[in-house]
Amino acid sequence: MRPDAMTTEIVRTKLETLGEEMLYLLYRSAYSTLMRETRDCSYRMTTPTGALVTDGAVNYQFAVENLLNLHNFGENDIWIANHPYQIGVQHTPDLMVIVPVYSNGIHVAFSCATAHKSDSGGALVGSVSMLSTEIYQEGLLLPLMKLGESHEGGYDLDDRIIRMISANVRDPDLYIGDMRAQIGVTLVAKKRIQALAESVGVETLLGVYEEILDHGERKMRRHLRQWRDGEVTVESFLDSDGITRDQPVRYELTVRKIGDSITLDFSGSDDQTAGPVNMLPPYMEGFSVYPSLLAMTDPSALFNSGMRRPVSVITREGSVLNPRLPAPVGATTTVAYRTTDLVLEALGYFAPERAAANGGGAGGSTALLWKTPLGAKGSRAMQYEVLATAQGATNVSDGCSGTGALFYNNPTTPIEILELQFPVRIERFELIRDSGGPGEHRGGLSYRREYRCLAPAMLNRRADRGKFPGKGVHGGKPGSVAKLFLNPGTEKEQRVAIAGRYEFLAGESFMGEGAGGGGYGDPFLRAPEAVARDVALGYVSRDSAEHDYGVIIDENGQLLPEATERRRQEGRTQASA
Amino acid sequence: MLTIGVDVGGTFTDFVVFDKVTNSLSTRKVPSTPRDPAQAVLTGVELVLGDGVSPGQINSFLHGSTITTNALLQRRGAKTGLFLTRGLKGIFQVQSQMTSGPAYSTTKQRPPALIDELDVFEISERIDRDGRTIRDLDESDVSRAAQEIVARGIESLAICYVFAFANKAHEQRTMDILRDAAPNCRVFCSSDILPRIREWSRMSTTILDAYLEPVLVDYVANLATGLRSLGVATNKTYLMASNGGVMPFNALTLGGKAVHTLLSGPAAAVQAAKRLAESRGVDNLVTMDIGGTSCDVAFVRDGAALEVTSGAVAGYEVFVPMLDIATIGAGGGTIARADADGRLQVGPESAGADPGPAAYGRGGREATITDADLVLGYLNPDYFLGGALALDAEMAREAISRNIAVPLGLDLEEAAISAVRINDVHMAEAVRAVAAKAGVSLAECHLVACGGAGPVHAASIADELGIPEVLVPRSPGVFAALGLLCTDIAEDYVQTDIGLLEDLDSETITSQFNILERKAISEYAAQGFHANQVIFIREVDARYPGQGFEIRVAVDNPQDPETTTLIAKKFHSRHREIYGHCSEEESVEIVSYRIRATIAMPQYQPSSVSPHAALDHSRDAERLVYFEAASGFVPARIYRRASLDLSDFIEGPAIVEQEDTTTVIPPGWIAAMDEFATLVMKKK
Repeated sequence: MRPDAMTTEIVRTKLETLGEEMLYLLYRSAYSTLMRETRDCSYRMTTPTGALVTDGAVNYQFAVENLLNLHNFGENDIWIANHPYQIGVQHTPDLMVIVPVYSNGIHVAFSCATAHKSDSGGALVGSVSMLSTEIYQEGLLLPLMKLGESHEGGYDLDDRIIRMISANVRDPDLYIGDMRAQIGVTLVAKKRIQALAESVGVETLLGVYEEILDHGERKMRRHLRQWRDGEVTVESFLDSDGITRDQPVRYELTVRKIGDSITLDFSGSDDQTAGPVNMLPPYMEGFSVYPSLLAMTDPSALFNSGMRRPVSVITREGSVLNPRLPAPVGATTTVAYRTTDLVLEALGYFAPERAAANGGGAGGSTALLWKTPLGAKGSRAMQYEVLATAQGATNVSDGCSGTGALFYNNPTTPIEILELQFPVRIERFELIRDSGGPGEHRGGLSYRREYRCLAPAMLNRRADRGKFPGKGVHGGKPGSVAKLFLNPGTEKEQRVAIAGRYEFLAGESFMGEGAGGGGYGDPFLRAPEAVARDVALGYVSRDSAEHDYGVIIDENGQLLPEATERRRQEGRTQASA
Repeated sequence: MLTIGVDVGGTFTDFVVFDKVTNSLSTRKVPSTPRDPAQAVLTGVELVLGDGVSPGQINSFLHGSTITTNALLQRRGAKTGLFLTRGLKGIFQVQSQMTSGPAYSTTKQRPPALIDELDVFEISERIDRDGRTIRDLDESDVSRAAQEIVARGIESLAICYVFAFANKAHEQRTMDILRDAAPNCRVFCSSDILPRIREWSRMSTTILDAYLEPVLVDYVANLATGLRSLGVATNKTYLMASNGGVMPFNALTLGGKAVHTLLSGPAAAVQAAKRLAESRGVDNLVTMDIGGTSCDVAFVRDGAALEVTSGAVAGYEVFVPMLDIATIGAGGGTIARADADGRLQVGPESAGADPGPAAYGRGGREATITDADLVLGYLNPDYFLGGALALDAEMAREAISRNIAVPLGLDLEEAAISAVRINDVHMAEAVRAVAAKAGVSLAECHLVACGGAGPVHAASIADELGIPEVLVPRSPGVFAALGLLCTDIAEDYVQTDIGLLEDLDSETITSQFNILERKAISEYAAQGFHANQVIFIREVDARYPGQGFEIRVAVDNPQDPETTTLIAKKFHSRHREIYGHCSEEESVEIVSYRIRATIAMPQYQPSSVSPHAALDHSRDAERLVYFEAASGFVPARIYRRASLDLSDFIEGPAIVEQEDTTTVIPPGWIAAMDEFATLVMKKK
């Protein structure tokens, strides 16, 4: 018998809180600063068959299913893995701990935690880089392995595995310390799940899983039924794979929707690349497909595996979205922006009122290696920042400026902290005029940041959308592309490729500009007052106001309503002609 | 000699009048006047005076107010401008770079800016990290911007230049120029409001202060005038601050205080809970103040209310010390309904006060927790708010039947108990998560329940959390007002000056604290306090070099030659406590110095009640009440709180009714009143 509505909700609430609580515990017990500050870690429990019932990314399901398919395990086992091809994690620094949970001999759950390690060995510090051409260069690969067993009051780990890991990573104390934090948390959660199973009964717990999954399926099908049927194909490009610099990488998606089910077919995407912009299907599904489906249907809902039932995702083996070994997968953060844009763009065809313009993509990373660190006040040799761009516009509003595109939401490093710790001065930090795609709702503006090096340094920059701007939707125009300038505002000013390595002498500077978000709707429909305000704020130039929006502003910033009306009339006549 | 505590809530303004000599306490409630909150305050004081109190007897007046919080929520602050360092407008535009909203949403935004970006001015100047000027202040920039300020009618201005905490000269000079060039504009420097590293934190806090301070200062000035016109002449008038202390009214005009008042309301209730714990000799508490739309949760650990050094109020980031109060979106008005896919969804939506629960009869058609409480017999329809609001049980039944029972195929009572149980579990689990975040062990806590809906659900929530004892204060409805009488004057000061601990000694550290202490003493002197009344609590913000966050470490005696060793030791052990490990061989970096300057206030001490002759409860009612444990309706004794005596022993199922709340004692729980008239519920 299925559990009643009350029991289902109570158990669901407890499982959801368990996830939240374990994440806090993970932050607090983490050893490395990276894990505590960037919070690049997650906790999930799954059902005994690997289904996710309280949010989470699909790759956990993939990992558990592989464990079930490939291995036998015992009640008290502790398993680990970081192999992207086997457990669907984004890249090798993401280590997953998996612990089965039994209640009175009956298997009731898996308790899992993933955390990004500061280094997992391999060719370069941090393990991932745009330079790798085989996954073997991206650090130590750990297939699913039994690491140890828990017992009353603690756990024992296989010392041989610990020693092997320690011999292969650059900071073994941090690696093992964080791994122990992960193990600790999964075991705390295991006890909690056992207590829950005990209190409500195993039958009920398993029944609640089914209720939650069925509800997720019903919800997804109900939303899909409301969409029009049809088929659409969209494409999207990455500047390059980092190895073959002038060759863009193409991602393609065809979506077919009939009744209450939907197929997302990525088969038309390019063959796998030499550079690390390949992405494994479980990660792509978890990061791009389901978040986008939720964003287009019910953003307040939490994902569960039941929602996968009406959805099929097809990828072609040997393609950039389903690579074969030994294709490298390290630099997939940038790819994730692209595949998410792709899914949102295609789904916008079926739910036009919820369509979102493309965002500005990954702001990229700015890594400065200081050759002569000042040595004072806690300065370090490596300065590392992940920058943001902007959101695309929607039918609700202009895109948000100067923030993570899509589902990214990370804080920036304060200027005062950067200047305190490194021999650098931030000379400029501001939104970029005309970077937001014109539209009835304007795309978000991206920002520029100018760095003056007070000591010799080498810049290693990864970035996105240097060639392919974020597209607009429903008549909205694209945002600006990303740019990189050396020594801006001087005689030596030079615009260079946005990704690459550059050397600086003391006193030299560079300036990065992110790409803007795309616009939503015909820019000629934007209220002239809103355009005039954008001009006053320096968000839009007078030139763009006239050419893109058909709004005439005089040199004193005054809106000229009649001239605007005439200009817009002409524009419409041209468009209809 | 009387002390009056006044707490302004959304619906009622609560008064407690405390007579220090007789140690007696009386309470009163007046409907709030949200458009002009001072009106209800003055009406209440007038009523107190009508009770035969002469204005001269009122020795001190303490006030908890949501004036700044509401001004922020309703965006009714001053027209505010901002000066920032030329080239770095992004600090204002990009802020922390974060947005709010559900993780998977394409429409995420920041909260609306408090300053129109057209009122943001770039000023050419630059200070470096060591406080050296590397670009002089361009005074013509300031003069030009000053003209704009006047032309644009800007009333209040925040100045925030980078590294102003290390050298305030440019901010000060800018302020001096503005004094002549824009004399009607109030000016706030980031180096005064929050001299701490991290430009957006400092800017956000300074903007909030500039935006809210005129509202606060005007409010307090009006209130003071009103009090004087009633003959209340005492200058011992105080406002509750977010840190759990109070500030004298005349300190508010010094500037920089508005930003410390955003939790003025809820902070007072935590102080009352703390006092309650002291009276019972309890060290660890979780307090739940459950109202119509939300539930405030706070913790007392080892006798001290937990604090944070930053927080977000209405989505705006403010970086000053405040009590760690979490708000959960669940309360009596929480809506329960079957969703389109057959799930019983409880919250987070709320019917609020208007239209409110269906039972209010104000047109609400949603089924709320209050409706379910009524259907289950927890609430007495004729004695809600002491009978001030008649509840319509039929409307409640209809709403539950229509929105839950019929679509899910449940009985009416099943539907009602399901909604209540789910909501209780939501609140319990939310408390569990908040406790995990704050690092609190709930197993050691007692639960203090207040607010109108708190004691209705407290036993069930405590059961969920494994907390064996629940305390329901004598007057849970005026708990915050009472808390005003349980606090000291407390002001926080901070100054960033970064250095490795190994490069410092007791002398340098002492001199850092001395600067802050002198500032506090001179501010207090202006308010008529003597230096020897001030007690200092000294702390540093410390971290391992390169870490992106700091830990507060107490400095007991900076003059102790061993002080740097002691700080290091404490830092390592605190780091281990919070994060599970530390690195004793690593250097420790001091980022900021903090002091809290307190002045002791005469305080309310709960007095024990004397037993009176046991009352005959046989006349008290009995009614059928639904409990999950009983799987149905069972007869429960109904008590009136005022008629309870020390000798009474209540065994669940039972209900204790009073004007401001209802306490539900389920089967398996017992309750009794302690000597301070606190109702103590225990699991059998």
